Amino acid sequence: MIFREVEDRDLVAQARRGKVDAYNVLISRWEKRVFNYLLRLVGDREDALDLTQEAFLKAYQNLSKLDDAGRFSPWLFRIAHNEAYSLLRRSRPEEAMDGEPLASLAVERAASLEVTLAVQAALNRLKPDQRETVVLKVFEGFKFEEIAEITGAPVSTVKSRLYAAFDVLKDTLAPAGARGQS
Amino acid sequence: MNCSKDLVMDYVLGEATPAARLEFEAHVKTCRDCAAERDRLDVTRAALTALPREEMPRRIAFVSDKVFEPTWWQRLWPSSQWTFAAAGVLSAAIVFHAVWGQKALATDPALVRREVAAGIDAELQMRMPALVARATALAEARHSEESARLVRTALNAASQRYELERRAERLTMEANFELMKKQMNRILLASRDAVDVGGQE
Repeated sequence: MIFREVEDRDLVAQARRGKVDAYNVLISRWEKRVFNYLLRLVGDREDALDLTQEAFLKAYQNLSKLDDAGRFSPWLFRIAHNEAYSLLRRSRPEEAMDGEPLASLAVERAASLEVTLAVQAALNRLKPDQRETVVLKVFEGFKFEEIAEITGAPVSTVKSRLYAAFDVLKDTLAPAGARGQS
Repeated sequence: MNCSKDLVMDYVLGEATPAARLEFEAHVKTCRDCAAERDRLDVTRAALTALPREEMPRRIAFVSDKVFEPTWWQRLWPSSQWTFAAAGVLSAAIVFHAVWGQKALATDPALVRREVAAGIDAELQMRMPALVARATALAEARHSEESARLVRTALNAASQRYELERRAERLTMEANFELMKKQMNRILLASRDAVDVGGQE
């Protein structure tokens, strides 16, 4: 991760000097992760793709505003977060706030369909902000502080969302007593 | 150590400090509840990470188009403008010194300074618009030449490509025609042989 951070910093510096190829390397490095994060937020592949493109474009246009080039990824996810919530507010204002279930994701390539469906169902039981925190923590591997930066919430809120989400998730995915636990 | 739900979560999510990890690992050896909670969270986390990442419908890439990139002189333009202006000031000073220098030596220094300053101002006022206009005209001329050259190059490349494609098509047609001729001859010869054999029988 340290090497990755150094490389990102270098690529950001080159992109700031107008080297589009350097920015394309950054895109190829992060596009799939940003796309999957957005897909789990908005639940639609085309919307997620549009938002991913928009996030990368805005990031490129505002590269000079990035204070620490080594923190490109949380900054990029912050832009993606803003784009997604902007879309959700525009398209379904009341549902975006109330925890409408995520539309089903494609599962045709899943190694284990049952597990994938169970996880999908469990994630659908979460509120959007809880689901986003789980995605950023478990799928994208961000630290609490980084998640706070991305979502614009205090670290304490991030933790409480994550703890509440795991309470819901473990009831579905690892019910008590299922493996001889008390 | 007391049981702490937050510590179990931090441990499972990799957010506990090294010291806290060691302390927790020692604690779960004697606390069945915390050990069970850790196991359930581990299973939950493992199930979540089994969810595959979706492939993107299309890859994203930004395009760098050479035609729209600034040329070297466009990048230099703001500085070249000031270079021309500075050259103008310097030449005005040299001219003024050549004309007024000898006269100034023989008069009052303060008066000379005022006269020199006034002379430079006047010279600058007179020459500056012309110098800037000349620099602008030069830059625009270079820009036009560069654009015309790019267009000519693009047109040449297109016509060459068209010529090559036509030539390739012609060659292909000729080859097909030759092949067809050969096939027709072969069929003709075969039909003659058949007639000959039939006649002999």
